[in-house]
Amino acid sequence: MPKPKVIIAKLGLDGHDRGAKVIARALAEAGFEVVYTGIRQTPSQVIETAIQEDAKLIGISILSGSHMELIGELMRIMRERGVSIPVLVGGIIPPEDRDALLKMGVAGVYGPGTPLREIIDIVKKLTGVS
Amino acid sequence: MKIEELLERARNWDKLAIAKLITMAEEGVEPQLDVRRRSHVIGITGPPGSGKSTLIYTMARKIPQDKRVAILTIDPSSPFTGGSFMGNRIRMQELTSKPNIYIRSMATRGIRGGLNYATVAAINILEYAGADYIFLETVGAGQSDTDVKYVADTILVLVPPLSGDEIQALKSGLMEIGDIYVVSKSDNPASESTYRDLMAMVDMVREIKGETWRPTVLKVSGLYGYGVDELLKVIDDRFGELMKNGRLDNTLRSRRTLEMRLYAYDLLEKSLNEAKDLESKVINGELSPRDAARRLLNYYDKPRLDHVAVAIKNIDEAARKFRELGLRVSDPIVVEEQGVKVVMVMLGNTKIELLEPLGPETTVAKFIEKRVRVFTT
Ligand SMILES: Nc1nc2c(ncn2[C@@H]2O[C@H](COP(=O)(O)OP(=O)(O)OP(=O)(O)O)[C@@H](O)[C@H]2O)c(=O)[nH]1
Ligand SMILES: [Mg+2]
Repeated sequence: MPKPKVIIAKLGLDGHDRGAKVIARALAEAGFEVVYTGIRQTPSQVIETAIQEDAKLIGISILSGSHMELIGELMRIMRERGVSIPVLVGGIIPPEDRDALLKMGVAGVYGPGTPLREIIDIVKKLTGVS
Repeated sequence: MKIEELLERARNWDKLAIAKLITMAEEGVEPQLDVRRRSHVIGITGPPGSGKSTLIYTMARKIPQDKRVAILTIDPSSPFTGGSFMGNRIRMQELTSKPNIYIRSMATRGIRGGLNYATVAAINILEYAGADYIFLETVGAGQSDTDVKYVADTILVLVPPLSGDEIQALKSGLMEIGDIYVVSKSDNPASESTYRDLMAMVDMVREIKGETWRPTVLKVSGLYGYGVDELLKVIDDRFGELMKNGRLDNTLRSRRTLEMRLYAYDLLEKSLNEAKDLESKVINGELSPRDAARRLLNYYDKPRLDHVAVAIKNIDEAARKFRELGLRVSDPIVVEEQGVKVVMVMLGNTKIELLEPLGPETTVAKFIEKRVRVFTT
């Protein structure tokens, strides 16, 4: 049995997706089925993708600086659509925003230097893989 | 949510319900669906990077919004970790929010690397949910191409601009299965010669496959949209034909048998993984590899009727009559020590052994003497 399906998406307008792709590949290596959506996704597209794929976790990469608005909108749409799966956020996030994101219900926030091992472990834990 | 409720909601094109049903199928649940043919299942195959996802995107965008469109894209699973990187959605981003379109990424899973039973189940679920079109993007290599012909009503083969030699190399496999051949990326000037080479190739394959095989060959550009309207028309016309001549129900039957085969592969893989005791017996020489395989599949455990012997006076006459009935009959062999001539008649998993005595003093001759003829030919 493969590990659960997860979605890795780039929210916002910046076009740098190297980091997101590296994470997606690493999770696939770790045995997950990883749907990579590509760049410039809107929050509603990401939620819609999660519904159609029946994903068990969403990993978001944001570098544009507009994480507060975009994640706020993402969490709101999730509540509206009744989707309750963990959301992880990666990117350059100032410490004060980090706490605010966690308060919004995000399951974890990870900066650029986070070891891949750590990310794989948290994804395993959040999706119930031993 | 209960499965009945999910099925009810799926009928209304509720994507959350469809998604949950497909996941259940992947996890081994077998929903009993009364599938009536209504979807045109279109398999899209072609070498990696030939433009499959881009073309599906452009077609789906052009299909009227009152039609329900489902897209299944298949990516390979790693045989080592079971993981899969699924990137086909990148080319279809704009379709995500369209109410009439449902997209699902599925991994090949398992050692075999073609389609898996869940893909077939997903097609059934989507047809049940009322899809008008189901596009199935394969990984474009190996087993998936042989599998796809059992589930798709129409197979579209993409051939990117290639050299003549590369087209030659495509011949094995891809050239046999297509209903529609598409030279993709036709915005590229090199596609002109690919088109000519492909036409020549189709003519050549026709000499082997017979005159009735008349696939359409088209040039399209998924990226720029050239030729896509024409392609959609060919696809729709073909569906009309298939509906008229009753061929859609054939695919429903082959879909069922494919699902059986693919599920059997999965079960086999599981029992192989669990057969540690057999493995150690093979390693230490207690069992031969082939005997162990037979034991794994229970070939020895069930008693089986090997044959029924019938003594008869004129074996050649009887053999002829059995042949006339369409049965497979062996050539006669003479077994001197037992004083008989023997012919085997094959009946599925058992056989009849016909015995004709070689002389009046043999056991078999005496046996016939003593009994009434119970067997009429
Ligand atoms: N010039 C040109 N490029 C195209 C066209 N269609 C696709 N491409 C490009 O070809 C590359 C592969 O396209 P995809 O649609 O992902 O091809 P695919 O066959 O789905 O690829 P895999 O799923 O990886 O096997 C991308 O960079 C596309 O932008 C086309 O009509 N013209
Ligand atoms: Mg693709």
